[in-house]
Amino acid sequence: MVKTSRRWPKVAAVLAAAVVGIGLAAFPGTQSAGAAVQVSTEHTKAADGRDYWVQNHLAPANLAAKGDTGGKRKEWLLVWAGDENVADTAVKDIKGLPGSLGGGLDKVKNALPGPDFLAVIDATKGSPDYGKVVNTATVGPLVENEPHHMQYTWHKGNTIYAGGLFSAATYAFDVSALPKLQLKGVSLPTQTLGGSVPDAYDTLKDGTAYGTYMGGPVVPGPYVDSNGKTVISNGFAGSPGEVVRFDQKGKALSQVSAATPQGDNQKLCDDLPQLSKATCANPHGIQVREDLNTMVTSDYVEPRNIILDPVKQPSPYLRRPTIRTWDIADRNHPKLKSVAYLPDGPRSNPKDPLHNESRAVMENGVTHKPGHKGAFAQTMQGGAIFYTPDITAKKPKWREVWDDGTAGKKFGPKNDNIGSGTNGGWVAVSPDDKFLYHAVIGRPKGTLGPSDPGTSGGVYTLNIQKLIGAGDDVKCAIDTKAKAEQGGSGDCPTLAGAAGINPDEAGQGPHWGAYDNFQTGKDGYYHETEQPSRIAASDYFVARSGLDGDHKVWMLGLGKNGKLSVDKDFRDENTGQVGVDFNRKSWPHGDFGYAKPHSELFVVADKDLK
Amino acid sequence: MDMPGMDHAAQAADAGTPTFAVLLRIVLLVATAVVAGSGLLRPAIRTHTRRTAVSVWIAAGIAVLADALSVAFAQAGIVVTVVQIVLTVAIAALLGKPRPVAVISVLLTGLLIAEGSQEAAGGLWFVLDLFFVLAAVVLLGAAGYLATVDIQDWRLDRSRVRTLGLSAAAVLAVTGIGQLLASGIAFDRRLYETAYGLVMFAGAALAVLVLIALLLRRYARIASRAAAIAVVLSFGAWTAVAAIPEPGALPTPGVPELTHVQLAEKQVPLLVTPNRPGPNLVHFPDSAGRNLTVAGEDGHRVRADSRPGAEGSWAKVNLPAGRSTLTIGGEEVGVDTGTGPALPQAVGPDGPECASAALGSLVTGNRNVLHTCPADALSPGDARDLRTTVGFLAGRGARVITLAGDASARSTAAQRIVRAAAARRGVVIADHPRPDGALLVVSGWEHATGTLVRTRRAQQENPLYAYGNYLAPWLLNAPIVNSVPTSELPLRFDPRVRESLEFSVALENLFGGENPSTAAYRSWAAETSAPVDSGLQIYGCAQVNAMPMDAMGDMGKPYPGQWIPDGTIVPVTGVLR
Repeated sequence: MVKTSRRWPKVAAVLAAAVVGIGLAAFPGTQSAGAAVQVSTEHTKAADGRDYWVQNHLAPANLAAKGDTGGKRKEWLLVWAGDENVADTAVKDIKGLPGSLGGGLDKVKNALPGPDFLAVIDATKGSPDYGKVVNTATVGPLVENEPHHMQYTWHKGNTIYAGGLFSAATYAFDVSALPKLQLKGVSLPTQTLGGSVPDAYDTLKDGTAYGTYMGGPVVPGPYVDSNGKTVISNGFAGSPGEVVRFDQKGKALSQVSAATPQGDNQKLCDDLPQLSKATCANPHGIQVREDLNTMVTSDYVEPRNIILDPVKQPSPYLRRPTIRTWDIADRNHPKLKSVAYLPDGPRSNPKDPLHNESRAVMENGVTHKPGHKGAFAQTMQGGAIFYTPDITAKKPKWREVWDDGTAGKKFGPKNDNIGSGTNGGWVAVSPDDKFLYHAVIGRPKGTLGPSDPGTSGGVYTLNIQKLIGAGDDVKCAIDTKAKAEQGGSGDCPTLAGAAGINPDEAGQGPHWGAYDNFQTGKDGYYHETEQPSRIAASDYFVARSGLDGDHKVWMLGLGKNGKLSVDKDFRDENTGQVGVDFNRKSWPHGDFGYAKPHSELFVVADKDLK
Repeated sequence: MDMPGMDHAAQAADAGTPTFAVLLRIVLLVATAVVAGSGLLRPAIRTHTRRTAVSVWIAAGIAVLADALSVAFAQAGIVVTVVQIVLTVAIAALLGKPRPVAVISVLLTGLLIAEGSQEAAGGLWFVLDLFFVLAAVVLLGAAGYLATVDIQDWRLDRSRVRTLGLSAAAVLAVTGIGQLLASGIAFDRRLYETAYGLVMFAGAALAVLVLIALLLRRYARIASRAAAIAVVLSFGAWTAVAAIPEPGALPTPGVPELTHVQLAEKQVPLLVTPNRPGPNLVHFPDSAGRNLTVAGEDGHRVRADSRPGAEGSWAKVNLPAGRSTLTIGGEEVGVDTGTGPALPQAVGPDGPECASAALGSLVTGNRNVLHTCPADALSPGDARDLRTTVGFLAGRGARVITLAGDASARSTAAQRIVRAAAARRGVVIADHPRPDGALLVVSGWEHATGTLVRTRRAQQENPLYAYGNYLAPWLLNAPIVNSVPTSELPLRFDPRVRESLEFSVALENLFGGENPSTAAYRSWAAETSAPVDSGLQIYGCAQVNAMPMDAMGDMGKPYPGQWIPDGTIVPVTGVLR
């Protein structure tokens, strides 16, 4: 008989092995994120009768007490990001144990799409949590929204308007109690019948906002807008698009078609399917000057794809060269005032109309100061910047004042000075009207031909003081290739600063950006400033288009002279690398893998802002 | 949501484990089990010998090398591998300290269980694996000590050693047989016709052999050595079986057969419908590639080609009654069509839709005989929804509808319904394209695709169908809707809600990335509690994109769960009455 004292090792061994085995079998499959995360959910019922929500996932470990920040109040960077949901980031099945198999037993299965979310990142300079994600506010029940843009700048009391490119939904968030968010409302496609594919927003002083819906009325055929105008749509995500005014809860107050009543230039404006009146009205960028009762929208592209012919390219005239001004004296009934066709520039080539300077007017930026009436527009495929000194004119005249190629070498020494296809995006005028900020993705390899190495991208600033100061008597003209590559003279903008992003890689620069319109006052509170000292930028366009990005968000220091530099203190909390990387396995809301950060905003909680 | 059958078929479809990875796994786990067993039984030995130490160090060295290779070639996590290496080396180094080394061995045995167990398969499997591994570890440890340590140097007397061995052998045999029974293939021909079955049987048989050998009192010395070898082989079989795809269910006559074939180191799924004597369709997903050929037992080769409106490729083959074999790329697949009547509509122009419906049913794990196809008749629900659609168009001001149908029973009935509804609303039905009306397609997949391709080309040149391209509900399938820039469909389910997405992902996992269709969804929903009727709404469908294809030509990757690859489908009306 074995003595009891000798029996215990065997019994204990069996039991312990069982416990360890059970624990280890479960161990790598468990979602590690989620421990100690504070979850709270805000619900709202939408027009379809369904429950919509935002669920906050606050990571207390990333929320240092105020005392730890030296008493400094917090400033946040909100990033609107989509779950990527690719199979190779669905890591649930991989145990990572040495005896496990890569295929067979431990396979990667396709997983359900994860939720899209607003990431709340600590953007407080000097904070020990600088660059950390302190909350991911996930939205539901819709997934695969393809989070796109929010408004360009946020002011105290503003709702955050955030659009889903594919879901045709606009979310309205309350950010008064950051880092937590609340959902005020959501606008669905059935509430914006006059348009689809929501793009950008600009807020008004009363807290409402205008949004561009780039695609046409959701159902083909006639649509009567809020001004009583009847337009004919060629279907969901087609043409013509519209401008929607939203209240602070995301409810549509009015919808006005961007279509030109008599139609647009048939040669320059292609539509698919064809419309009886050709139109280029697909507004993307939107900027408002309430003091001038004027709004500017820039037409980008008919936002849907169809592969007509694997060999033949789609028509370049699906990408628009037009920019529109509106009379917004009646805020709920904007009236289309002018439609201008941006001119072609010195690089334009009839054999490659896609990259003419006028092509694909994605964004525009208005001046802000009383007495200044000018505005800028930029073209994504065209790679140029245009200016008009007076958006209130009956027929504003736009002229090319800058070519992206001029800044090329500042992003990377290997870059050429050709602006074609540089994929510029975000453009904004500084609040004091001294500088223009512009984000450029860069030209992917092979864009201009098999031997094209492409160019890298980044953010640059232009000194526009002479140009603005010229008033209506602007002389600047980029009308030669030399000027396109070297810049113009006289009252033309000059390059004040440039920061290359991923300078060794073609086409991996940022698409979007936001300037920090806040600074800390002597009272310790944040106040709005006319001289931003920082810009945030994000490297993601739209994966479905083939132009993706490395999914990083950067912070750039901005000097008073317009000089830019990458902020090396803004680092990813996991990798320690410069820039917050959205390609990570774990988030406060779970191990959902990679995400696509499209746009960002600097925001401060009400209690910290005066 | 758990989808029965999903894991199995997905495993079958996805497994294609390289031989090196399998061998690495076997070597690693066996060597580690030897080390763990040596440590676990050390307290039973008074003093170990130099031979014991050398043997354990050799086994540890092999295990450590295999651990390191796992990091390099098998995506093993570095931290957990380092832990395993530390435990392994510690056992070899601390062999002189019985109690500490036993505790360390417990931990290492736990890792072994975690690495080898089929966690996805559920609680019973885990229990069987747990005791199988424990028994194997004990037996390997005992075998090692019996070969290197004189019985006098054991703390246990000879009879207790024998009892220990027999107990462990009994557990090994019982759990080995248990695993074989739990696999579900113990009593059918998959046991001897498939690699999986043969390896499972070998593992169980060897485990029983161990017990028999240890029961023999005569030739005990030879028997115990044979038993030791049998333990190694049985354990090796257990580690290898995880790398072998589980065979699909035995073919059942009349039940569309979902199985797989190994082609160029990849497991490729295929579907045979209707799996009856006579003409059958053999369907491969897009991910299987092109240029596949299928031959029946008569040797006649048929190339699998695309079919308009459907994904993947299709080969129409004649199958005899009863059991026969298909040959695909040199690999053989067994089928059993039984002796029932043929189902010709499952192989005609509407065959792909029928196959899609069959797949939807198979996602549930059920194996239902296919009696009818969706195109056989117009359902009352679809009839009602087509009438409402006509009313919707009339309400929007459309005064003419161009109607496109084919000769199938469903389409013929649908055309009658549409004409009657249009007449009631004063809408003219045209049979040619009109710029001022709407297109309404009520044909099957194949005919619809042709209509839409012609429409797309015409709409490129001139305004046509100002009121839109409307498709019958059964035409929601990616290749169809992606034939035109935009289309509208009346649907009663929402492709964006959780259940629809779960189904979409389950189908993709089941069948090589195949996208769902209305037919597949309805089949699945009919057998589950999924919502099928959230009220009729018109959905707009388009490949929404921010930058139509540029010269680079490299479109973004389609994501799992999307009903329409690179496409968007959203409700554009409220519920229509």
